[in-house]
Amino acid sequence: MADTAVLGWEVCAEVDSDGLRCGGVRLAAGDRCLAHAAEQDVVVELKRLSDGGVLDARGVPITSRLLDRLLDAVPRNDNNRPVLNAARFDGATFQGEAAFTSATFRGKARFDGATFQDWAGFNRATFLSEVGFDGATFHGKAGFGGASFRSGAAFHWGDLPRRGQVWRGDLPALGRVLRSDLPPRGRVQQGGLPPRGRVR
Amino acid sequence: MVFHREAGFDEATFNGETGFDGATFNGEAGFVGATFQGWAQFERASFRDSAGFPWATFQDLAGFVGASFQEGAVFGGAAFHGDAKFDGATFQDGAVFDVVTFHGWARFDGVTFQDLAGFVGATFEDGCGSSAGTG
Repeated sequence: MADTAVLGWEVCAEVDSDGLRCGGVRLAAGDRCLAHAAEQDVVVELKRLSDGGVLDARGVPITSRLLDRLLDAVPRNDNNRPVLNAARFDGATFQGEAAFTSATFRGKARFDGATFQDWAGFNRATFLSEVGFDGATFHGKAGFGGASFRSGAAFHWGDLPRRGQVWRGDLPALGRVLRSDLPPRGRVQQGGLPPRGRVR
Repeated sequence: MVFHREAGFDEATFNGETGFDGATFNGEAGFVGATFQGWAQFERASFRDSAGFPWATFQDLAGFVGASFQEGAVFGGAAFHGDAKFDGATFQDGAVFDVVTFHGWARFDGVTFQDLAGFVGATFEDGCGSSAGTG
């Protein structure tokens, strides 16, 4: 049961068929989170994001469609990729693919305790401020290839409360260093190394 | 932090301090050509599949104290410009440190290599401490 006192934010009033309350943070309008709010409240939130507002999706169960809507709403850079200011995904659950590829996070980005149920794609993403994935769980492939962490990056073990969810896909440049790249046992040699720059 | 499948950080750049302390990598972990400008802490991290740091660059302290590498670990071609601490780390499969350059102090105290460890062409410019045991 999601609890405001435990989670530290006002939780969504949505209760599922098992009697479990959603742990998503309430929107400013209404008593539901992004996943459960009335469409008109979501539209207001998306407008706020398009104006550069902070994205607060703490504890929210996020489908791929919802994430797409959020990322479509935020401002774009010259390469037409999303630019987020501070982003709070603490405890969120990404239920489908989470595609943050080439996104820019200008403010602090928190994914502490988040759960990625499918592919998590942060390839070529840029984090201009601190980013935290403490206690996050990645059930699918996680791609951070070519990502740029301009400030502190935390991927510590953690035991934060887990709620929420994210996606899968054909990750480029993932897991390039495989067991097969290792020199045969007993013959560790320089030539066995993968060439520099093979990952592009 | 648990990665249940592959985790790829190839060519990633970390400008600040980076902490993967205690992280668990159940799938392959790839940091090919990654650059760590600040501290890079992997203390007690658990790599349960192959771990690859070839051609990675560590500009500051690289801490792998107590880390566990259950499959192959490849650091070949990596450059450690600060101290590299592998004290108490465990390598259960092959470990490749070929042509690695250690510009700072390289510490391998209490490291366990249960399989072959290769340091062919590795360079230790400042010194190396080791009381490693082998399995």
